[in-house]
Amino acid sequence: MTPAKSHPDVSSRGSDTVLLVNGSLLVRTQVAEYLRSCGFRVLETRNSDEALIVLQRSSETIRVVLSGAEQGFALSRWLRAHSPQMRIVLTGTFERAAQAAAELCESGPMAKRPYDPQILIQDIKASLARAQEE
Amino acid sequence: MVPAEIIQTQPAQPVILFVEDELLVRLSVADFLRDAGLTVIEAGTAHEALRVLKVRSDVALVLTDLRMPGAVDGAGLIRQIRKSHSSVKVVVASAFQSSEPVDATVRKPYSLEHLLEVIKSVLAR
Repeated sequence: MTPAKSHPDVSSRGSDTVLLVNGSLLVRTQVAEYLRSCGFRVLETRNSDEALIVLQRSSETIRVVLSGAEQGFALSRWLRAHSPQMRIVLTGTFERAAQAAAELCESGPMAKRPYDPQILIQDIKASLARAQEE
Repeated sequence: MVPAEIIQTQPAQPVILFVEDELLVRLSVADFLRDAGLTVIEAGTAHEALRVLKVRSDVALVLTDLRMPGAVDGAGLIRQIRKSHSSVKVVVASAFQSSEPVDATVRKPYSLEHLLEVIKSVLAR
């Protein structure tokens, strides 16, 4: 039974979990889908506060934190103090986030990119452009 | 050169947009639904959900809480869906009753299995 506002266990599945931190919903959703299509389990968070909730409250074994740079600096400090072995990849742009996702996939569960990250970048650009349309 | 349009691979699984402001509930439920074979897009607010619906045409069902922070709450989201995305089904998962017409309601607290049954039932209609 899932209580209305409990903190259910986000159970670990070993080292195939990526904690994704990105304030842009459209970027976050598409990068997360890309990573899932190459076999990763992805925990999506919008900012460092949410990421810290996951890091502090779950028993996750997180392989890597993939974070926008703005949120990532605060997380880096926390990780250095509490989980120095955990890898964090900071991405300043969505292009860099897409490239980082592709690189993660190469060393991920399927050991390959699901498709060219340039396509992911194009998709993100198109989504962002479409979101701006009135 | 890839044209600048949204290239969405046709997912084998139905696409669910899950709107829930409480992070750990959102992560846990989304995880469960993905394990059950659904493609889940997560949104933390009604505003985020509307942003997703604006750019994606493959969302089959919106699963939403009613009480959420922000200028638009769950009821406002449902009204907007009915107005602008009429083919999208709506399931409310809340401790409260929706004032807007929806396809199904799952009252909190709910079991994940029951939630999945309701979603599958609505998708099958």
